[in-house]
Amino acid sequence: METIWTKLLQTAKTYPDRPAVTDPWGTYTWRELVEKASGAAATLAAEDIREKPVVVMMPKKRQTLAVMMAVAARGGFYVFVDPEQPAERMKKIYDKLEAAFVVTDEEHESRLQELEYTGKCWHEEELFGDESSKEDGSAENAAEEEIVVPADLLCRPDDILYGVFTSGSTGTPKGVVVNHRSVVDFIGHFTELFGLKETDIIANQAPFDFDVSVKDIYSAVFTGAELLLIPKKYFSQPRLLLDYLCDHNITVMTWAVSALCLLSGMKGLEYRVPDKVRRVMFSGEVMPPKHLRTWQEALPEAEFVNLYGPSEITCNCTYYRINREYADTEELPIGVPFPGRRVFLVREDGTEIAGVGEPGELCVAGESIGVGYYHDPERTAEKFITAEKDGKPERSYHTGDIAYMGEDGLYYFKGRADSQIKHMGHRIELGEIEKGMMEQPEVSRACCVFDRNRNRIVAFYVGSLSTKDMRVRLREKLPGYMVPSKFFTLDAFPLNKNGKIDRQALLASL
Amino acid sequence: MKEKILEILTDIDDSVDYENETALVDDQILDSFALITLIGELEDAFGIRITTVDMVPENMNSVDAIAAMVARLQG
Repeated sequence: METIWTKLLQTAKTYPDRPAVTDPWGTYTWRELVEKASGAAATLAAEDIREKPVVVMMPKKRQTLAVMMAVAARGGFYVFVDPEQPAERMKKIYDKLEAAFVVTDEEHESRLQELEYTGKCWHEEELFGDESSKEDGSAENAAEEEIVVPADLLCRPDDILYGVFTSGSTGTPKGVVVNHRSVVDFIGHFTELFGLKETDIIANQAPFDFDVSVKDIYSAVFTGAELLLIPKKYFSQPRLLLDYLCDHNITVMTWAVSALCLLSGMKGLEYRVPDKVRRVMFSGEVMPPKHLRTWQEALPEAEFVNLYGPSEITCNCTYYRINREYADTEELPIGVPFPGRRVFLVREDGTEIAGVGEPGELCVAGESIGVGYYHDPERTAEKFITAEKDGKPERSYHTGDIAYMGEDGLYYFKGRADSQIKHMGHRIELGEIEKGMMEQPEVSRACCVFDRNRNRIVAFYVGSLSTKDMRVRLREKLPGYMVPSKFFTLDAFPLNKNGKIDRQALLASL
Repeated sequence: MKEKILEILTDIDDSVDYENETALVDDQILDSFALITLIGELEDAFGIRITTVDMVPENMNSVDAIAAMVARLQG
């Protein structure tokens, strides 16, 4: 009956005084993390959060991780919400969750007024007490002592552990929810396959509202490795970032492709190489071979692994250990399924593809399939499908990704069946951006395309709104990564034979 | 040179008052994606090479700071 909380306790008992989580402002040992989380859980116990969402609206820092563990310990599930995003989108997330519990800090509390939020709100300070006064002494006093945890822990393997929101084509973000068991199963395979251990130092790039961070957090929790949290603003300051990574002797990077490319694109590896890194794993987009080679040259001893999978199936369903350099024209495989998973391809008529080379929609069954979309039975039923397989019911998630199996028995990613794109590591429905544009009264028609050559979203619209004002207004609605890089106004849209907007013609006009 | 830099910046984001803004990086007005675009455009436009050592907020926070950096790199 393992849960992430039982895993955390085991690790804290085995490695009480090793570092658990470090941010630029300090470190918690495993003992401290459990004590902080237990203390916070005791305060949370004033309300019944069981099986309910608790919004964690805090910046990425070690206290935030303790809050997430505390929520899990009480049988609730955490939804990390980036406190910097526009109120309108934040409100959609709160509404979808019917959120009644929030943990935030003094700096971001005012955002709750913008949302007209009336539920329970805990302050970080309330959950931890005054940290500054006792932090120095507590570590020494605690040494040799038993780790004290509350007896009334509530979580069970089938309880939801977290929710992450992704872009939805109708304009409302979808909340993918995943239970303890799925994470326990997946992270078990992940840490075993890639040999993660207590001496590793995991550099956490991904924000906590992004399921790539699940691998970082729970790989540390399961093995006793140290988690090094990187604040988002470091990615605009490559020198600061590389000094931070190198000075902390990081050994493992499980990053979004876009973040690795950002660092290599800013020539960061010419400045300093984090040369203790023994494993680089990436996901989220197709890795450009040019950037991969830059990393391979900088870290000749490290193993590079391509990971693939959407949040709905808990992190990743396939992996490929890269064992050579790839030329610019070559395709990098997404590889083979993780243990416990069944990956298969289906045709449009729903039949399974057995042969090599024929493309189809990639589907995933077996362990760790997500619970579904929170408060959205319709969209859950559309994508999480139970069908008979070998005389037994089998639940699978249909990704909307098109893939094929190569002659080498490896899976290869081909593209999307719809207008979803991947940009800066995020899944984006162009329809969600278009909807935001169409909500402007001065706009009569809008369309977005993804310009692959320059890796940017380009928006076109008909209407009297200036491109400058359009950008400003979209920023109030959408997270920064969804705001197009370039806007064009048109007198009329080019149409194709079917009378629909001709996206190819728009792309060709760039 | 300043005119060209303003043109590049406006092309990246036309909603910023670049003439008066002095915390483009510190206030995250330019995010990491905008910055990497800016670096590429500056390198192409002025035939320079901007390294990680140059990519510090002091060199990128305002149009004047960017212009000073470009002038220095042009040597």
